[in-house]
Amino acid sequence: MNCAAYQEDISRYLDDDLSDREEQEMFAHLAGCESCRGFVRDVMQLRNALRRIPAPEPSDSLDRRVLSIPEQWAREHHHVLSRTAGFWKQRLAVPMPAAAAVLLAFLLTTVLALSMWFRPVEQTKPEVRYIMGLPEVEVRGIPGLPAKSVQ
Amino acid sequence: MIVSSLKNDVTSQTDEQLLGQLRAGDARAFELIYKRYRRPIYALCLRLLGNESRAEDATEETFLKMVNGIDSLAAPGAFRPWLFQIARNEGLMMLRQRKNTTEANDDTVWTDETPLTLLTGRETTEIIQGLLSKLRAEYREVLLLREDDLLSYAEIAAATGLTESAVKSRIFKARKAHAARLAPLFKERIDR
Repeated sequence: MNCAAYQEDISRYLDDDLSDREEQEMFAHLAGCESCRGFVRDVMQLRNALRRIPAPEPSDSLDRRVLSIPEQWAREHHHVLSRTAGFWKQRLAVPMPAAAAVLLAFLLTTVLALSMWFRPVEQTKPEVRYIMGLPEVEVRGIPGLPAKSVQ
Repeated sequence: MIVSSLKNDVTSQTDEQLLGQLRAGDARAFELIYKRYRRPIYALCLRLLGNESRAEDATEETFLKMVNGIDSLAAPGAFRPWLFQIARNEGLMMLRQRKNTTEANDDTVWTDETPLTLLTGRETTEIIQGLLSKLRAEYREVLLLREDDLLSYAEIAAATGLTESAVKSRIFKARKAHAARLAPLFKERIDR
């Protein structure tokens, strides 16, 4: 590895990105390389200087503009914003009469379907008729013979 | 007053929790997210653009796009790099609109010549900020995202669309170029 490669490792070392082995190799190189030691000094000074720069404080007017975003959003999407109800719930909201109609239709369909499903099965009774007190039995289904009545 | 309360109030809720609340329709979660990220996002925009008014516009646009795109974020754990990606894209778009970027060859790190001698006599912070603003945007953004420990290499890669190795390489080049320009200044101060 040359100095350029070690210097890239030094940059990664600052970000805690080197493995133990890479770190050992980098320090071994630094022990004998004045140029790379100078690079370490320079980037450390840069890092410290950058960290001393205070983070700029956003202005009150920016805060107001950003904090009005949810209200703007709600207005543009024709919803009334409530800090407790939230604006995404309202985005999905359905008008009450429409919801009631859909629910009613669903319930009616369900009741109808259930009533059809559980309809009592009609028991088949033997084809027995009583004529003058004696049962008349209709015999049918014998191949080659016409249906007839037997008393 | 809501605005002044932003500066001190701290919530222990995680980004994921706040994101869940925001998606569930809690507008208060938006305020808490803004409270957490207003300074780093504004700082990134300001250091990318070098202009307070433009940085404010970019910050506002970032949070507006966050609200509009919150449902498109698949992994709640990726919220932070996603938010910085929006801010970075806004900043770069504004830079492009200003036609302030140059399409020089890829090895060029500086946007123009800034002899350190021109900056002699100014405070170190101003000098560093001045030099930072002269770095090309693609080097400046990765350096800014990394130096304050804002994002990891992997998160910067996600935010910028670069590979991790490209991120490491750009950060190294930015540091090397920046440190080389600052070295005479630091040496001069030590020698005094």
